[in-house]
Amino acid sequence: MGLSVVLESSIMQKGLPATAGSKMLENFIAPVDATVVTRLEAAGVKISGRVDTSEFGAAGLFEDAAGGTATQGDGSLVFFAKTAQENRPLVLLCNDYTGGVSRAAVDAGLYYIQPSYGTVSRYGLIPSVGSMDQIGIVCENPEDGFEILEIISGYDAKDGVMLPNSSKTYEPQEVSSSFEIDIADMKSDYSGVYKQVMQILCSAELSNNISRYDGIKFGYRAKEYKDLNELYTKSRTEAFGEDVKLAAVTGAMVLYGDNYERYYNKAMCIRRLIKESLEFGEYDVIVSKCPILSRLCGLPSLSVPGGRVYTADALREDVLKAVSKSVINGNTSLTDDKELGGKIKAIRNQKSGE
Amino acid sequence: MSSDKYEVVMGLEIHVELSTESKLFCSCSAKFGAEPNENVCPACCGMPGFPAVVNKRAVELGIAAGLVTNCEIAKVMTFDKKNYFYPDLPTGHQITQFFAPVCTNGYVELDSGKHITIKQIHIEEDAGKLVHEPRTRKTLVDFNRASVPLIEIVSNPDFRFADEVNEYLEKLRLLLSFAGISDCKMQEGSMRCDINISVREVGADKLGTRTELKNINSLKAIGRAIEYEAQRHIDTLETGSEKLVQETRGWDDDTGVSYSMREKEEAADYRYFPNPEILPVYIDDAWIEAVRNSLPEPAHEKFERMTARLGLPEYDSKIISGSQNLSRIFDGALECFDKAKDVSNWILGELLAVAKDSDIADDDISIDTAKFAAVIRLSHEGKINRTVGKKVLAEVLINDVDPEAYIEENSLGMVSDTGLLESAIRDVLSENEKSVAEYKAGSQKVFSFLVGQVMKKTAGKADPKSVNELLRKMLD
Ligand SMILES: [Zn+2]
Repeated sequence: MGLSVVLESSIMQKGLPATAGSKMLENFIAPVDATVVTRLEAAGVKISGRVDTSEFGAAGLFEDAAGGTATQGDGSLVFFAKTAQENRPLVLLCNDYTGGVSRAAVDAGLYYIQPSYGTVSRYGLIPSVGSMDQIGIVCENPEDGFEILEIISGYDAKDGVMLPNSSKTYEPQEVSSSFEIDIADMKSDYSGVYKQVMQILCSAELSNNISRYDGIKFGYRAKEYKDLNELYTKSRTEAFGEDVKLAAVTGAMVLYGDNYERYYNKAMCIRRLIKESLEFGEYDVIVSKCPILSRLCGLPSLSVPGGRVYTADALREDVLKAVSKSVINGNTSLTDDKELGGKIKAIRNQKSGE
Repeated sequence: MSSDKYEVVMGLEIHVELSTESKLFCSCSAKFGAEPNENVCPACCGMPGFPAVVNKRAVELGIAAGLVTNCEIAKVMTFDKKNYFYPDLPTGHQITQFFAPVCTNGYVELDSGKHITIKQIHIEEDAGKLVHEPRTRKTLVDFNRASVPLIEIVSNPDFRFADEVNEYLEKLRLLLSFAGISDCKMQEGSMRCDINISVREVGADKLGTRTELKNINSLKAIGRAIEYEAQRHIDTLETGSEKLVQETRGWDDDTGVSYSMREKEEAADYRYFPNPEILPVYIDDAWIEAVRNSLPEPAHEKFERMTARLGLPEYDSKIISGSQNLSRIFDGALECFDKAKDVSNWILGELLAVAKDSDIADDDISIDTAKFAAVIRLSHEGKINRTVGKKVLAEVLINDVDPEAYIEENSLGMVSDTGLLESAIRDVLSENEKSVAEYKAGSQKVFSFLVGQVMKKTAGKADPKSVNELLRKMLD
């Protein structure tokens, strides 16, 4: 295969630095190859480089995650904008739990594929938000992206949340022009709520996951400290960036004492309600401009240039592959922004709609 | 502690290390006694990128613990995260069960018939260990125990007396060690006990202010700690000079005094939340039944069998049934040689003595039970005498020799050939004329001395009964 892949720095390659974009891990050398690396190499895919993400992928978390475009942050969020067209990698693998990378990617004219939660192994991925961590694919050409997805997805005993029946081949069904757009009964526009739920859940989980970075065993340690507490606080203060500190403090706050019920548990309940409200029935995809719907619900999605996000039912990557073909073939009903009007819509498959 | 006015109320939290081969979420060995940081991998020393994969055996032992303590087993159990910073905790959080533990609502019955009710049993990971080096004034961390699976058995405040606490602990130790759930060694830290204690006036409904005693590492210390702490509560209530504070207290067994560990208490909000990185574990009836069927005979049933069916003395039965290891040896040997009384005598007599000579603890005796049975059989059949038997047994225990071959090679078979014995006795009598004269003068004491001399001459191989008879005949 002639494809080459670039990895976000949160994906481990044995013997190479794996920083997840953080000063905390600037000297952290990966002890193993991530499962995705092993699989890519076994398939003969060249890994041509590594790119720093925003620190632990947190940059997109406290911006307008619901509908706006990413404008700030470091690393991969601006990577696409800055890199000249001809130097861009064809495929980039990254953990985009906030949706920030996918928004930056489509702004730069690229596609982003988010696989179903639990279908791509996270062994060797530096964790941020366990309930949403999932290696996704930025690609210039969706066909390449789905080809890589077939290589990296599939059960791995080293990741405890893998779906045992995750399929490995995605045969697109017949779709092309047979979709029509229909406004599904989605009750209301949840996007404002999504954002808050995301912020609560992500900061709680991130604050917990980064508590392993305490300056004791590995990672950054402050030069001077008088006691254990100062070792902790100085190391973390000096090494974490603003987004991560904000997440750490917010996360600790939403789990503290009674706040657990007030914030964290409420966010969990809303997440469950959102999941339960997503009944695909005769519909194949939900169209929106909101990438975080798929993150919250663990569903696969495809973001296309122009900003549309197609979210399919779990394990229905085949539908997304079909959608990507339609979009490339210029099926206007799938790309016309006027039809969307900021609302969430669902696409009906004519065959099943009869 | 005895006071008619006050009543002591106690509840226990017992941590028990599960007897799994590997740790709770990685494949590192969970064995005790390795070199510092020998049993670690990136996952259990907290490095990022290693998703937790639940050790199924640990869940099964958790279920087994619930079965032997009459608990309800959860249909779905979850793992949760408990957040706090401490250098021995590699990830900055402990994975435990807070929202949906594996077992709830059980009990252990005391001899009096009283039930000590169990609120819950949950599975969790152990932390590492800090080692302070006074010479360099440095603190080192050993992660060998980090992520080793534990269960915590939480009782309700049902205890009123230290004796009940001790009996409960002893019963639990038997139940758990017999079922192979844990070796329950307090000295090695595989069984640890925290006691919640409060004191109230007799007849009062409300519980008094409670303190939690930690770091108690022997049954003896538990009694002392309870007595001290209860008296401290009563004194504080009586004098009214200061208020009792709800706090965690350590126990210093050397000075016999409890001390406040309040510093740690201040920051204690553990920000528990469900672990999103581990899927809920579903436990169906078939799995529970499979675990139930794999459980060995509990200690008390074994005791019943030994006394009632096999007709062994209660004393012997209690010692053997009280140790999982001795029970295993007993059953193994009994399978090869079905004289229960002989087997039990050889365990309590020779085997324990031989093990003691080699500094092997009862629970660590590891012997081929078929070979052990062979030694007993050879002795029973009169092929070797008991002294030789003990010697052979030591060889079997230490060097795993084949008893029959060993006896053959070292010509230890019992000598009852009259000719040989008579010549040995003749030699002894001529070498000990003085003793012979004393015997003739009526001293019975020297007779056993002479028997001993004959045994010595035959290198302990003589049949003592024949020696006795022949010696009398030849002296008289
Ligand atoms: Zn390990």
